[in-house]
Amino acid sequence: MMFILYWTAFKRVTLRFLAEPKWLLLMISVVLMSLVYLNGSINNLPVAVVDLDHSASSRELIRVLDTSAKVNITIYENSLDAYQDINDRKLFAVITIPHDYEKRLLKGETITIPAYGDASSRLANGMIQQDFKSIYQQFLSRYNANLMRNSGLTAEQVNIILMPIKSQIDPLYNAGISFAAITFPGLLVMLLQHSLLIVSTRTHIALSASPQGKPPAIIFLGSLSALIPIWLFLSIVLFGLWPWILGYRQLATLPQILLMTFPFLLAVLGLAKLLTESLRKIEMIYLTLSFMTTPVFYLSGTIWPLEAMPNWVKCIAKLLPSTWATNMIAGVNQMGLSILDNLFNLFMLMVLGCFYAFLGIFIAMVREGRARAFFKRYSFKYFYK
Amino acid sequence: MDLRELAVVFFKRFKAAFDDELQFIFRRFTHHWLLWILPLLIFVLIGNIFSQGVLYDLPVGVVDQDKSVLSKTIIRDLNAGAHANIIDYEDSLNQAEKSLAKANIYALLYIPPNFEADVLAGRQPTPIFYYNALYYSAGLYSIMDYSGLIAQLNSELRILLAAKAGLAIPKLVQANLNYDGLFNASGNSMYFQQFSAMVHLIQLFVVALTIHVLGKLPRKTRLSYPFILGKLAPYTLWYTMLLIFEIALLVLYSQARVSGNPFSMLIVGFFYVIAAQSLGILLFTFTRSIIDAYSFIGLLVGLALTYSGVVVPELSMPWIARFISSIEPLTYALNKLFDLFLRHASLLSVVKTCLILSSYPIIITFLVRKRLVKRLILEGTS
Repeated sequence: MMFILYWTAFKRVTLRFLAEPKWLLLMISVVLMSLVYLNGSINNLPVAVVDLDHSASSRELIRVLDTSAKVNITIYENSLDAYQDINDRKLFAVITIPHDYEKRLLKGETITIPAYGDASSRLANGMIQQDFKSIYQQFLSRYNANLMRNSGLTAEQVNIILMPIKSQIDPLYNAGISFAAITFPGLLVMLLQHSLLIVSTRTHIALSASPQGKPPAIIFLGSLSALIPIWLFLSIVLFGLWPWILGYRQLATLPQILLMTFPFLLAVLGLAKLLTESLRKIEMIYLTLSFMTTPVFYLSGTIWPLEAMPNWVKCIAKLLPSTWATNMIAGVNQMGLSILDNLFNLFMLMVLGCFYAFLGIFIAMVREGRARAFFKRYSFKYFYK
Repeated sequence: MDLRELAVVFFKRFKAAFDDELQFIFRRFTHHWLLWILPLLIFVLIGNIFSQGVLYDLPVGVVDQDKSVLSKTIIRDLNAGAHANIIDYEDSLNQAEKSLAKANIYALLYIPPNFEADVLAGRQPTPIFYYNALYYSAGLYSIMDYSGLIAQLNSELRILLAAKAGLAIPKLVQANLNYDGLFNASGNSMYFQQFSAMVHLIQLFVVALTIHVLGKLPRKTRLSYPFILGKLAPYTLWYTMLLIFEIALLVLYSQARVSGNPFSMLIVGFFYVIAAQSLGILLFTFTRSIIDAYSFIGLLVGLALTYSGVVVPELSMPWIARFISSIEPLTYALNKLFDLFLRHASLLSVVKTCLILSSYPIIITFLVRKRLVKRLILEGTS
């Protein structure tokens, strides 16, 4: 009998969601957001070079800087125009090659080449800075190597003396520095959590408010568990297919994705129970959760590390299932960790899910007066009678 | 009825609705929630997330297989730099790699065996500095001091090695590329992240409250445009003031300098709120219930966040993304407010932005002209 009730509720909700696929709004949202990342990383950002020297060396430097795929060099005759254009968002950076650049280069005098990037786009500016510095360092090494060779040193001696220690910096887990790879692990987990929270609280409230009165717990269980297969399907699309579409690293197998998202979905369902009992009105749920997505995304730790947040903010971050899930899914899917390396994340998701669900049940019991009866029944006084 | 009479009637109805709404503005908890409680809570939360502003002392692992004076100098100097806080993994490269993948550390310096001996013998050893490019901000900041440190060591060792080999080194070129950030001299992330989040969230609050207010309009009153505008106008003023108040808080807290005219900010904020209200009217008109309208706010959140140009610069977006970005009022408002905050914005550019933002209510009025009143009546009967 219990199973029939469970199955009927499960089937009814599944069919309703298949007939009215509003959950596909999530996919539309992801598709629209992905359009920004179609270029993969930044490329061809307009950068101005103001050449005040007009010498062979300055032209050589411009040619070398233009080899970077990330930028597209435009020559400006004067600095004022270039700075006006960077102010008007027509340029991303301005490099000024000073007067007497070549002359001072040949004399071995100290020269500083000022370069200014638009720091309002923090990530892009960091990438351009790194790229320019590395290109410039290579250019300078070649120039110095020529000077040393001209003074009679052999190629091997030049090599050793110029660079006694070879410096190598290797980016891991995100070859080519894809913007999508940086943003999406946190963003997709946040979207999955947000959409499931909304739908499960709506389902819960709709069931509680049914004209026939509040149905038995098994109906709730059947209805809410019907959401899991749909969100598991979404997680396969988002964590399995989407990295492939956007061209960033994807390592987890299908069973691994399911194994990671299943406890995450349970934790979110637990949180949904607590929110349902705390907020109670569908409108209030929308008017609260919709605004929390941006902070939840920032709290995931992918854009800004948790170490840089105050302790009370860290506590909030750690109370969210999305923080643990982002760490786990990014770890397995992009950084090659195994599920066994993430047992603590899995454990925390289960603990959070149970904690929120029990807290939600407790609040419901208090509201309905059942908690008082329960404590009365199981009090010490009753026990010793 | 001539034009003057029409204007008088319009104004009378507008004023009556405005005065009526003023009496109710703080009578509902939902209004308190959307007008100040939640905006300020989120303001405080986001402000605290980015309160450090610049990333210092990030955990960086070291596996030193040489343990020589030179390798220890590199580690000590890296630790003394602003961005790295060294965690020694002894010889356990595997454990350090795991920590890197688990984001317990954001970079890992590996110094090979015989490092110092190889340097002195001219064998050019290569210590490798790995960083987590997936957690890019933290990864990038944690390696920030390394290149300068190695360049410094190389220039010191160059003299030593040349003297040892009896070679005379010619005067080398001393040319530095000094790359700095404009419009954010301190490299502080707080301005940008909190400023953009604030402007972006105000749009969502305005859209949500507009839908809420339209859903609760009194049923008995004859619905007309001046009435609806009068009902929404108190919230236009409120959210404009809230935006300016939050910007002022941010400026005071971070001791930032506003390079533009604060009054221009107020004007841009006012038109931005009106544009956001018209988006709310559009969503309300073309959905069947207010809950359906609310569910589109989620879509707006992601889009506004992605297309605002804070994550991916507009100059680097593909054409389709630039087009979507250009139809979002947030893009214009955010850019102009940023300009007024940190760049230089002419009065003409402020006027241009206000004109663009005021085109939203005009276009949306045209789009909803046949449906809005019907939709309001439908809401009343549902």
